[in-house]
Amino acid sequence: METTVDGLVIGSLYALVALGPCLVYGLLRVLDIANAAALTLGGYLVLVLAERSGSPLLGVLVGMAAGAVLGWVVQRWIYLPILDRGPIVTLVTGIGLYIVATELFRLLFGPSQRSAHVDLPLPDLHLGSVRLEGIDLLVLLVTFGVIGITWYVLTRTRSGVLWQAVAQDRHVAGAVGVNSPRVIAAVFAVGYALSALAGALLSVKYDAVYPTLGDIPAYKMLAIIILGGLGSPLGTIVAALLIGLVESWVVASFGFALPRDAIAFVALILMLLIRPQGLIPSRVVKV
Amino acid sequence: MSTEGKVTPLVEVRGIGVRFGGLQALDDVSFDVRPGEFVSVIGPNGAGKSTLFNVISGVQRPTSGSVLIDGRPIRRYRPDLVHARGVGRTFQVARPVGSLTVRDNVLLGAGGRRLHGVLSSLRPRGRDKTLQHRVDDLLELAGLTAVAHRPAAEISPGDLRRMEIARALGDEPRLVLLDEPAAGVGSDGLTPLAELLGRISDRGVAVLLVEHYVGLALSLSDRAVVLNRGRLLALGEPDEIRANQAVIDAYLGTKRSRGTVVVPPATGTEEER
Amino acid sequence: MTYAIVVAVTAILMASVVVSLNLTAGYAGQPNLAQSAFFGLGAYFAAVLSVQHGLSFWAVLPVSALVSGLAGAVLGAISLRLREDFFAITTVGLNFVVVALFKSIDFFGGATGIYGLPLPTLGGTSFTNDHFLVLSALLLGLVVLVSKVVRDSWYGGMLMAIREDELVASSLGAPVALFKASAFALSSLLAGVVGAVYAFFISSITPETFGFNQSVLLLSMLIIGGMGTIRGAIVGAVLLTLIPEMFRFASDYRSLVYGVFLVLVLRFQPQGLVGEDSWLARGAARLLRRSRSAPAAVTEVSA
Repeated sequence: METTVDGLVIGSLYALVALGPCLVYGLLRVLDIANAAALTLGGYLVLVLAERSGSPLLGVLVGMAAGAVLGWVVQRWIYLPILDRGPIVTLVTGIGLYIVATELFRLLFGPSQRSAHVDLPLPDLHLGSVRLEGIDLLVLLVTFGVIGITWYVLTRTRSGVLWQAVAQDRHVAGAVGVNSPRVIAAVFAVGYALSALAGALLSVKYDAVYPTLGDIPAYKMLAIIILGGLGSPLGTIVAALLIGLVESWVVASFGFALPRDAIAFVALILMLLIRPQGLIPSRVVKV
Repeated sequence: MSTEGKVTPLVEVRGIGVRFGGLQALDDVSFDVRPGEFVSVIGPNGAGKSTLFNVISGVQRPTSGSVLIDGRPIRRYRPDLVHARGVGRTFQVARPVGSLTVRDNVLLGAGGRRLHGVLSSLRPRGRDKTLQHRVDDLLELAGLTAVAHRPAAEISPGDLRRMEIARALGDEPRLVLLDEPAAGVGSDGLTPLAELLGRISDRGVAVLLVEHYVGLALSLSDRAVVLNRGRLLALGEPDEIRANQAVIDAYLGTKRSRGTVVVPPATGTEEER
Repeated sequence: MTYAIVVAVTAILMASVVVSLNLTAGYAGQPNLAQSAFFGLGAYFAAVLSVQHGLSFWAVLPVSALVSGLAGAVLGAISLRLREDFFAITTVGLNFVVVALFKSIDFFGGATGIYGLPLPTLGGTSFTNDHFLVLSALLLGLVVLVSKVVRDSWYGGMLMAIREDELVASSLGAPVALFKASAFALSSLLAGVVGAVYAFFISSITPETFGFNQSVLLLSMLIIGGMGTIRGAIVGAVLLTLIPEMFRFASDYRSLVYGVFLVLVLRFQPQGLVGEDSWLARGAARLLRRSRSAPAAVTEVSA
């Protein structure tokens, strides 16, 4: 049972990270690795600001703002100009960006793992025999809250309609008066902010930040958004939770026979062989 | 050459039906193309013309019915296998190999048997003298000698169309399927195109032509097939088609002037599969 | 001097792998981010068979070739079923799976890797670095020769057609599935041979050497040099092997330089430094020459 809770917590963090790249893929068909840089950024900012100001919340908010700025910069100056160069170029460019970010973090904050030293006065929750740690509860509440809000925005508001319009066809949407560049910029900003939030939660939960914090999420989120059917937010969330759960179960039952981080990809490859179109085959959200 | 005698049809379409989900794209369509014959396929948008081409060229397996080449049915619907049996094709939207030259594009169409296996295809493609001559001849036939060494991505739409036709002729097919070769070429590109189509026919290659310029198509054709909503509406010689009341009602009626029907080229094209 | 030879051999071996990668990623246009997995399979089979089973260098070469080639054929078969971006991520995942196998299967020596590969012998004499230099140069020659044969053949022309439009390739008579799968097999086979030589050259291997980062590096080399060209593959590989060596004095910034370089090239010269149509490279070379040597005679442009 604790394994299941652990899996859900991890899975919800995956969902938070994967949501941005999923929306970006829906818009531009770009697999955005660089998004994971925002995760590490969020982790470091919560650490630095919690140390300086004593307020982790401030760190989270600044981290999300910084993430949003990063996302805006990346799409405006890097991705948009090379969009017509095809998926390999954009994918490798994203990887290059991510490498640059990792190296900058290493040079700025040092190569070794740093403790976040954030002690949240959170009570543990007891549900019968299951003990839920305060931070896990917080992660679940925040991620599901944010996912819920994103979901609402995507399906019930004008912004959601705009996203869908651009996702259907950027140029047609532009022709009928949708401000495509602004929609794209907004999606990047939001996606990177969500990753920064995930990074902050991750670093508080494990009490550790290091330059390559985003490595595993970066590649795992690719597996997740494909498992989720590429560009389908609902599918992505489901896939993220599933991967989190499966990882926890497999590790709990088989020990370390299969390294945890290969599981997502084994699942991905198996799934692609059985269902080449993805778990939930929709390119654009179906309400 | 529309012979009345008992000639084995080159290609015989027998009761083809294609269903995409709830949409019946083709329904029980039958006709044949005899050796050297020029047949055009006409019909409004959504009539199933492109689907028909995709079936005959092996891209799309029909839900029912069969296609026979030289009296033998296609069993495995794969474009390369159909190509090997002497059927070449072009596409509704021009599809050049943009990074290769015009000449290399046409040359690739002339690979023939060399392409069937990995080892045989490892021979250099620039060596074979006979093939080089054939390619030069096709380039000249299509009026492309001047642009032969330009990358295919850079030439004009009219040249591109004729390049695709030359490419489809590369392996000396007995039938070519030409999918709207006049689309996008502009009015001054029509004459060289029509001349090319005539010359192909003169060489004894059978042609199956989908064309929105119905007047152009009928003027070149021995026979025409009219499709409407996936069904065969009429089949016959151009004069019969022009006079056929059902055809006029369903399709030609509105824009008709003195026997020559001019239908504006479609803006929305059927989806290729 | 030894150091220079070691760097040279490394650069040549990297160039060989990247030229082999060009067959799939360049000519056939397949997003292949798994080349180091095949490189690694070749290296690992060579190491295991020689260290644990006492096979000679010459005996393990064909085994490495075969294993990597077969694995490549499987990946090629997978590529037939998947859309381009699905396939790209599958190749990403393959790295993690292969490294996981190297780490967790006893046959491959576990997380610590395999140490103490013997030096290959030829006619009774053990290899020196000079021998490795000659051998790697010959290997590069072989890979380049194979690539040239492919490039100028019907096969290569059709791979390029497949890169741009599979339907066109098959409508012109090419068996697309066969060609794609065989391109992966050939590319991986060559990478496996290079991997075997590499393993003997550095004499000890660890799983992480052949992970995703290495695959990214190999593809980066190809892209930076110029995708789809043999010269681009070689230039990119040599450049990205030498740059870190040149930045040895500032070793802390090496990866940063690599990352920045990669992003800048992709952003401003996506066709690569010496790839088809890379006018920027030629222009820059001309400018450099003009500013260095006084406005002298027109110098030849060599790419």
